Amino acid sequence: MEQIFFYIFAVIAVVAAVSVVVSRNPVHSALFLIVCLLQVAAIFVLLRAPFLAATQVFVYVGAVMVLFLFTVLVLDIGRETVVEYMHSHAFAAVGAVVALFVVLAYIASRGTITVPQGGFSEEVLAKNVEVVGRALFTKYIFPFEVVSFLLLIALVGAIVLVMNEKGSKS
Amino acid sequence: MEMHLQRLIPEFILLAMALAFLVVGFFIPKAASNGSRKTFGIVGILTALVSGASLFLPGTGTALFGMFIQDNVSVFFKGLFLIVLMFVLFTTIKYERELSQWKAEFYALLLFATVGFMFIASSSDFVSFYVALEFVAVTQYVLVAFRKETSDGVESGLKYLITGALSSGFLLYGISFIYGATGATGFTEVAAVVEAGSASNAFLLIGIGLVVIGITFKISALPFHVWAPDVYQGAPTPVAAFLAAGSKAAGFVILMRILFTALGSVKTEWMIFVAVISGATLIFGNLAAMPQKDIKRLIAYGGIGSAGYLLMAVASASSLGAGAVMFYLVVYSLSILAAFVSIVIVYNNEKSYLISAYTGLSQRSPLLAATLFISLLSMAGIPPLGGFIAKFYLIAAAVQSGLLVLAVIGVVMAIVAMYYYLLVIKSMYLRYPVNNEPIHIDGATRVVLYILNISIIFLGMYPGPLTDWVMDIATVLF
Repeated sequence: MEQIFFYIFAVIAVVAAVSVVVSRNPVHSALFLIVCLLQVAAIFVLLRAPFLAATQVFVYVGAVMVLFLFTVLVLDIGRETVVEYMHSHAFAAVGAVVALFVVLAYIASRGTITVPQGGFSEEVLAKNVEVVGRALFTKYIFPFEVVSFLLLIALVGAIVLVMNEKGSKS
Repeated sequence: MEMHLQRLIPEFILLAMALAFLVVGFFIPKAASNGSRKTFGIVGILTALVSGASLFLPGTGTALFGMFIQDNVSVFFKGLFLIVLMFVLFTTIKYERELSQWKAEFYALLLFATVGFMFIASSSDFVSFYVALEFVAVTQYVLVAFRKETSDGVESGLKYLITGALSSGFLLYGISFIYGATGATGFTEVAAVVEAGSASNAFLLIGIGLVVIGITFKISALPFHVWAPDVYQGAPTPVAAFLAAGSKAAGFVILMRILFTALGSVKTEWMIFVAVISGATLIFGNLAAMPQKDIKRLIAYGGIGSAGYLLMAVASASSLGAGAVMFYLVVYSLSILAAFVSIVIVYNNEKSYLISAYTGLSQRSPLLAATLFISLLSMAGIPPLGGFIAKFYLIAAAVQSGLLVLAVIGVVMAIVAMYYYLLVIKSMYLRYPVNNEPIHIDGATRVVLYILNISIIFLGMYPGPLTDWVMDIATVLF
């Protein structure tokens, strides 16, 4: 049962991801990306990570994608320029992707694949948010804090790159 | 497990000062003259000194639940990053006229980037490594695009961002495969699983390949080298120096930690792969450097070539190789910094980065010409300069591990490198200048140039103490 759902979600996710790249209208691309991210959230649910699934929907589908759509609509990029720039290397790109896929599939088919199973204790399943929160603030406190500084720098960087200081020539 | 926060004191000092720069920059009147903002550079250099001194305080061991490791390797690389930071800050003071605005933020971002490098050198887990890497990447995207009012500045920023994002994708994909194969993210835990032979071989191989390819972005090796020439050309010159010296060292310390510490027991699987990348990088970088007309592009392609040399020692998978990488990085950083300080001074006078602007430089400023002479020849690897000893050790490491073909490519490419570096030297010494006006160099710059030149020569004449030290440190990685 679980596997059937996994394959449904996975196929839709891959199809949507490919559509993001090939669709000629940036708004369609953004909408396909939303579909893809929703499927990934569904896979997180299958993996018993409901908190991750909820965050995926809130942050990516909710916040990031809406901003993305706004930007695409506000910038009003002419369709011709988009098509010209985005699809000028289409053949080379498809070739590279297929070559990478073939190499990876070849290596994977040559070796034995044994993936260690994740250990789901009752606690992880019942108190998912609590367990994730505790891990973030204990074992993963260092990456967590580094990410907070990363966001500060991204903020500073966005201001530096976009805003003009008063009194400057431009 | 305890927190051991005292092991992060050097990073805390830099972070605090970077935050202070952001706040102080807010209150400085926009009309203030350039002079008042030089203070940032001087305060930054002093902070780096204090932070460097505090490196030896906390002792070695892990901190923050094993996500952060302070050992001899990380202390060595952190010291190197701080030295690079000091000289880059000095270069920035000299370059400041070209930065129209946001000077406090520029200095703050340089400090932040150094903190990121230090985090990379100290990461002992794929999670903390990836986060530290993105920390550095975001800082550098902004620094590279700082000259946003010029078209080549924007172009270099965009190129750096796109290649950086793509390489991050490769890296994450690889890390996910390694996690899938071993069920662990910590380097020592991964090493334990791999050594026990219970990891899935196919997934592990894919993971190693993708991670190595992802890291080639940081060290500007094939296949993610494309950004280097355009970014060196378009980014502010101090940032180019910072990328050339700092980013390369950060990439190599993490590459060595992952390949030697975490995956050392399967070295037969990745040695050939790294050797192939090394050979391709060596050949491409050195041959592409030959027709360059712009000195920053020349150094960028030369830098791609040196990444090939360094990868050669990584491919040798021995502690001799690891020590050789560290020694080479010290000498290379000093040479790069000496070259970039001179480039900035020449640019201030000539407003050009073309090699033709260097014609007859020896008659206009003997010190600048001598500095470029020493630094370029050191990068080419000519005795008795530091670069010769460094290249010698790298090639020796490859020979010791039986990578003879690679060693031969390395020797041949060293001759090619000599050709294009000597072309610059020829135009500096054997041609008459178009414009005979002497270039004025102030006292501080003189002192900095003397320090850099003397250390490059000293490391070539008397490398013993440093090589003994790095060879000793290198054993920590295995």
